[in-house]
Amino acid sequence: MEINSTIRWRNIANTFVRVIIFLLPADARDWGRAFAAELSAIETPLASFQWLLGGIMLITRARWNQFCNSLGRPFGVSGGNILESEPGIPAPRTPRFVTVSLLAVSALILLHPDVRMALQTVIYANTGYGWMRHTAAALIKKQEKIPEKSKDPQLLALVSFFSYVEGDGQKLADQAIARDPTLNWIEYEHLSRWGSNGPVVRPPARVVQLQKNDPDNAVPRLLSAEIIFDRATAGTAATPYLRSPAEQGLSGMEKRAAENADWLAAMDYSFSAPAYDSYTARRFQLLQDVSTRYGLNDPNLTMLVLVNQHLPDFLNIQSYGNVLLYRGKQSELQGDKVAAIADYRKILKFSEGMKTGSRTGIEAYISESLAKKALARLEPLLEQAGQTEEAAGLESFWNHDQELLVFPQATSHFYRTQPWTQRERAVVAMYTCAAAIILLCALATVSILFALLRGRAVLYSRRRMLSFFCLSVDLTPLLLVACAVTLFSLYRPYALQYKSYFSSPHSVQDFENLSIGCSGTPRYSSKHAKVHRSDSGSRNRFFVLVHSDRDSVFHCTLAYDPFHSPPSDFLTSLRPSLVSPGVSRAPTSFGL
Amino acid sequence: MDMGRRIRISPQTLLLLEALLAKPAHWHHGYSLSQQTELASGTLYPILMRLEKLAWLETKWEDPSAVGRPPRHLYRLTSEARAWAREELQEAQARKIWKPVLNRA
Repeated sequence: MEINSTIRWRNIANTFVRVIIFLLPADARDWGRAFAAELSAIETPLASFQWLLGGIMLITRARWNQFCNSLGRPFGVSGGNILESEPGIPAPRTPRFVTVSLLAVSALILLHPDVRMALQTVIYANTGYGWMRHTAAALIKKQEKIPEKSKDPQLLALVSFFSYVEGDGQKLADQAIARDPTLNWIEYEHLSRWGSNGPVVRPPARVVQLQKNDPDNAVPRLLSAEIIFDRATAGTAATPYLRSPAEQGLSGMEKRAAENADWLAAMDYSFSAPAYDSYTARRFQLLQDVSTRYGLNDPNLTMLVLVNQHLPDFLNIQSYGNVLLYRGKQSELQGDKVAAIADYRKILKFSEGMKTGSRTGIEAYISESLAKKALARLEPLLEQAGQTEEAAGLESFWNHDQELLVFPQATSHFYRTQPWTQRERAVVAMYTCAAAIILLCALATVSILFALLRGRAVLYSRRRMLSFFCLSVDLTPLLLVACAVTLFSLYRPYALQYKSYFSSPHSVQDFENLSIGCSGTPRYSSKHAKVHRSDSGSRNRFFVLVHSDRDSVFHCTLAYDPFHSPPSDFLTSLRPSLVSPGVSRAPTSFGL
Repeated sequence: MDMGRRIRISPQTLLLLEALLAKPAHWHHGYSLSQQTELASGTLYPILMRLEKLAWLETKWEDPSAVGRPPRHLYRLTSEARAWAREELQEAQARKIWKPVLNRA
């Protein structure tokens, strides 16, 4: 029995020793055998066990020494002078501790929140609408983790904007409003949404309630008018923007709308409202409050909130404006200047309210373009009536330096002709760095693997490839650090600007610059303009490309897709170039 | 191999040198050195490896036919190393960081 036990123990010890020898580095294996040979002189199992435990320390020290000695050698070089060992086989030259250090520094920089955000926004800028879904999904997931009782109404309100599952957004909005009635303005968001088949169902009771909650605001009133407008003009082609109704008469769409007394009354009611507020400031304030409370620091979320905002249907507004202009012209021709002046003043009053109450460039643009058309008709009449002061006042209010960029009717190919701004160059550099970082990470991994395998005979015949990868081992860590540092320094000003908005109580007034500073990455407007096509046939709508240029506030171009052009081709041909950072993806939200 | 470079002397290394100097011309086995110095194998063998690398130690395997069992590894100080070892021990003793533990022959 005792002999069996001894034999069993010897077998275990021998196995253990074989493992120790196997785990030792090659240059220490002889010592492992020397260590193992002593076992035959050790009599008791306990003493043998204690002896064997020392083998673990032996392995650890031997491996550690091997590691320390290897630090000064490049990857794939086993020992000795790299020029002497394995002559003729390409080898990296950089000591591995330098390579590893550079890679570690790159990793640290890439893990910085601002750099991660820069990479994320660059990737998102090129994923079509994917970034919106991902950003919205992250927010929805976050709020789902919060217990029901602890959910605050503002968070519910914000999340309701992004719940694209039919009905879910409305449910969340109802919960938010139930908990905090001052959030009733969010109803506008849900009532003005567009689904894949057109506008969402708008229960009249909800529309009326929205108007009761905000009685002086033109925007809820416009909602009622839009419902009538959509019904009345279904199947008609959209009016080209550059038409002049006074000279060319009303378009088919406008005529159809003008025949609808309900629409005329609703629009008249809307144009008579004392104020205009499309809830942009409140929307941003909501975002600011929720972001601060829940520690959200995501420019993509801000971008999503801003660009997904629903605004009044400008085609509807423009149509009524054109109807008033046309009616005014008819009144002038009939000698009824009083009626003409009343119609033109109505346009100007509404435009003024829209301009002062709005926060977006597109609203400013629409209001200005409407007003200028009306002013062109009204000024001569006022001067004829001796009301020169009013004419001068209106002139000075509306005619200032702001340049309205109106894109002439689209040609089939349009390419950027303006020189690049500094911001645009920075954006291009960010894109380049981000792409380079992704490529270099992959290249560094593959190159190091190849270098480690350089001793294998299979690679001897592939010297060129081996040379390339060995050179890559030397260079990619340096390039990676350079790209990471460059990306950090390029994006940092945007990150700081973005963060400053969330610490400033006045930032809600500075919507334009917030959008510009939001993410710092370009948005290809050709991808992000949206064309609505109704299911009822050939109706084409306006679409709007919004961009910033030369560090100024938004300009916007209105263009009209005349006939049968596939949206993607047309859009691509219009604006293939980069636009400045922080450009709003507003076209999707401008109610067109 | 670094020939004759002076080593970083630890108390464990001094113990081992003392054991090796007890019978300087004699070949020692690893297990007997471990028993004399009370050093664990995990401590003893790295020191032996370092001494060998610095040419303080000479090593050989036993003649298998002579012992009639699997051969063991043998160690002793080289002739130059014996003088260095004595110097190290004397210096350590003078600095009072070590005192003799084993009986000298």
